[in-house]
Amino acid sequence: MNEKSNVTGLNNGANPRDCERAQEFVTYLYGEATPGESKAFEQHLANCAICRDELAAFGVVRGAVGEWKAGALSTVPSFDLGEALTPVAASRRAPEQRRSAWAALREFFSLSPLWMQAGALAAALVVCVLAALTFARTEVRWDSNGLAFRTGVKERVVEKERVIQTPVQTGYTQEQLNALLKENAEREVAAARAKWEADNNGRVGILEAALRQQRSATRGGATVARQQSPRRSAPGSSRGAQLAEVDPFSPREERVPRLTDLLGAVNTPQ
Amino acid sequence: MTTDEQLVERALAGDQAAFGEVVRRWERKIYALTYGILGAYEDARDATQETFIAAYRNLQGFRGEAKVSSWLHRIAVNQCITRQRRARVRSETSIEDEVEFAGESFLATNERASPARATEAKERTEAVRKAVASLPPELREVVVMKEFEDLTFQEIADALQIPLSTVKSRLYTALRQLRMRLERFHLEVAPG
Repeated sequence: MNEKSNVTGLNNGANPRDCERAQEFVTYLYGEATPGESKAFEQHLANCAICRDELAAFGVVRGAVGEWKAGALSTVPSFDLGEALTPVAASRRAPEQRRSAWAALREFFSLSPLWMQAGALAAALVVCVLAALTFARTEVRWDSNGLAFRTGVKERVVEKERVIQTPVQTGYTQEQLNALLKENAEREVAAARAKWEADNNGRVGILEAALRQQRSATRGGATVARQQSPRRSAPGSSRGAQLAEVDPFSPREERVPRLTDLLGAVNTPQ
Repeated sequence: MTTDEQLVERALAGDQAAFGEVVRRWERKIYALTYGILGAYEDARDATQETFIAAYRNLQGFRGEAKVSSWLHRIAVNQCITRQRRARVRSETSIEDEVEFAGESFLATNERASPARATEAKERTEAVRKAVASLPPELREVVVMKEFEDLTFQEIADALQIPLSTVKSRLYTALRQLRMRLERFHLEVAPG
């Protein structure tokens, strides 16, 4: 009874009459009450004017609705659902009878536009070629470390990485490195040569200076020697002076005049 | 005689003819229900057809707990609700207009019998039709299932999945509202 007023707002003043026995009323009205319930409600009817009034009015309402129903449903259209159910039946059987992949592929190609077929074919071809290349370079190895499976694609990638990594780490290409090494070597050779030449020049300068000094000394010495004893004018000393003049690499003592010679020259009276 | 449940089991096994038998058994009642709710012949025919197609599609979902009749009625009511919602969204002609149109076609056939009686019947059926169409959907469903199909309270409760007491209170309320509406149409419903 609560819903009655909630849903429809029946008791909004249009019909102030109400009875709390609506459930029994309806059950009795439609003949679904048990004999005991019917008897009990008939006793209630004898004392309830509201229910008596409604029972009569509802009877009229039901008669009017029944009249409408009889006329409206005098002709019922036929429902031939055979065609409507056939595709449904096919779709229901579909999961049970799973199609093969080949059949699905054929259906796809038959329904797809030409460009999609061409695209699918090209994609399949590329995949096949890549797969073939991969498996052609596959290496399976069984050794003490266990089973090793290496594909060619991985190997190639590693090789490529090596090639790329070298210049990335140094910043130079192999050719540039070679050129740098060559340049360094040439630079070192040139430096060594320059150093050797400088040393050589210095040594030559010293020798030349010594030679000049010896020459000047030799000139003075020869005069003194001529005025000294013949012991001093031995063939060895003249030969040593000659060697010193000729050979710049002879020991320095040979070229430098001896103190005894100089003293002899000084003491010798003129 | 094969029960509805047995026919559904055979249909589940792939026997399409078994489901055809279910359709033949229930098409009239389902059509009456959809017509009572929708109030238009065309809509009722389409809704009935959709009800059986939907039932066939969902055969797997049928549980033996409920009767096939309750199951079909529930589907039919849902179909009617869906159609009414769609009609509301499309802002098509109101249900009352459709009812009026349907009534005109129905009354046109009656007019051939006797002009005087036809006029009287026209007024009466038009008033009843409008009164039923103006009921809230939850009340209309119950009154149509009871008056058009003679379903028991328990069957209505099963079909609509509502308590038995709710069915009775809704029906009581629906009858009172119909009485008031018919009185407004100056129909002789008050007890003499």
